[in-house]
Amino acid sequence: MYKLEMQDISYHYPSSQSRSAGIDHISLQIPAGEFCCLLGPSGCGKSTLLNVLAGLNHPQSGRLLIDGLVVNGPGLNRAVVFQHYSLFPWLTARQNIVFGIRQSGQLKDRREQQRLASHYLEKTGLSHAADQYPGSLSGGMQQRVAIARALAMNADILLMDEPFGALDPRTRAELQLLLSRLCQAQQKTVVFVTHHINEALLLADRVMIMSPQQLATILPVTLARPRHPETLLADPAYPTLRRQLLSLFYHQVADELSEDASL
Amino acid sequence: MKYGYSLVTGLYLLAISVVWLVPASRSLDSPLAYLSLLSLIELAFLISYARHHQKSSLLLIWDILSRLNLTHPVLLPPPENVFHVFITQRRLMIQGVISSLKLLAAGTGLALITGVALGLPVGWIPRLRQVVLPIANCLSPIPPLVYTPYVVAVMPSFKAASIFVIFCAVFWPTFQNMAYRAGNIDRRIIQSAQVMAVSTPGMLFKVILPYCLPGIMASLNGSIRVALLCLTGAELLGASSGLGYFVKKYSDYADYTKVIAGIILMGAVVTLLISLLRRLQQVLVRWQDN
Repeated sequence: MYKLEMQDISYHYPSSQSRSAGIDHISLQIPAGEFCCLLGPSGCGKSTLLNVLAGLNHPQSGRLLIDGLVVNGPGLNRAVVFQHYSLFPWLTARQNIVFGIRQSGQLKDRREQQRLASHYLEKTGLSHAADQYPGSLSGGMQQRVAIARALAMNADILLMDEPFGALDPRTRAELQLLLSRLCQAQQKTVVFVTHHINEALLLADRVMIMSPQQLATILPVTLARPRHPETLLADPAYPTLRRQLLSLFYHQVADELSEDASL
Repeated sequence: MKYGYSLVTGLYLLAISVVWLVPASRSLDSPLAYLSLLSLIELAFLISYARHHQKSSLLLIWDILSRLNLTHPVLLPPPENVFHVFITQRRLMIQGVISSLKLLAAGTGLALITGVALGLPVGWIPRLRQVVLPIANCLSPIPPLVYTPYVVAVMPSFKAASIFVIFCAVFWPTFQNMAYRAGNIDRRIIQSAQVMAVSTPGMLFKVILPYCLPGIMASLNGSIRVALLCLTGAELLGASSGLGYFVKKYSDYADYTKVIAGIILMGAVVTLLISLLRRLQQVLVRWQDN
């Protein structure tokens, strides 16, 4: 039985808001504990697919199964991190995390909730900013809070929609390593949307490449963990994989390629 | 700043000596209240270094004019007499302030609760919004002052009438603001609440309400002035106590000393109320300043 399974799912936006691409008859299976990257150019339906998994988009056909059970709508078995930071601006970093913990219903005692929040604030290197409001935090810091909140909610499945897309390269590298370490330690099942090949290779157990509205190819990434940008370069399998991904990708993402090579 | 400081202190000393040294040519009450006000202003200035010399000099001009018998003794009584009213009439004044503030609190509280409670669902549910908002847009621009005399005449008691008028002054801006902000809430905030499986009541009170709070506070800041305006207006028409009543009662007797004192009291109460509200706003929507 798979942790997460999509059976022949289609979702199309009503024509009035056709800004985003839909998805067409997609099936995929993700086993428990797998870090799966969804790679594709902008506007191919990656975010739509992720929103279907999150339960925000209700598919017009097909079924979504988690642990073998059909689900409709959002649920506490999935935590979501968006590209925009999605924190509540009227709550401090700590209060945002506590909000998530309360929602998840795992701890009733207020002190326990605070302690868990402190634990994740520390893990994400936010202890000094715990009592600041999101408005006074940088983008990287806000995204740390969002990740801390998602992890603190203790969901088995983590859905991330280009979470580092709006960050500068240095912050991005830091957060990639942080996320990789935390997910590895907690055995999360992750679906991670990105359009950066390097990011996918650093994080993923499996890369799924999307072409418009469809899943094109699935490629297992067998690089040893823990991975680090520098040690990856020394891995003999890395150049082969990267070349493979690039060639698979070439027709669709000429633009993204040049951007990716410079990173 | 140093110049301003010496100017104010000089004016203060001048005002004090004028009060003591220049014998008044007409009957005066005790200058105690007036002198203590002057001292208070001076003290406030010394503490805060704010620019109070304008107020002080305004008082001084008034003082000198009345001392030189340039003003009409009935229409513009000397400041000593006006401020002495605060001592002789303090019971009636305190009573007036309390009864006015009670009505204001009742009307405003009621309007805030219903405005938020109705504005939330109307803003949040599109179909309701389409039906209700046009009606609200038609009713809300009518200034409450227009129907104040009618309401006072129609309502069973003055209390009910003034609460109703205040209610109307605060309800519409709150309701409209709430409905507008709840309807235009950032979709990303809603989405992140949805993926955390926030229930419908949670969505309304833990997400949309705090999101709308700055708008409510901002509209309250304006509407409370209108509410005060309507309240004192209503009190002029048919009250038996209150700030407006105080002024009305003594102007009927052409006792303008007490009328001026009443007006000054009203100004002080309004200023205090609005600055309190502003302080409250700063505490409640601290997150917005960042």
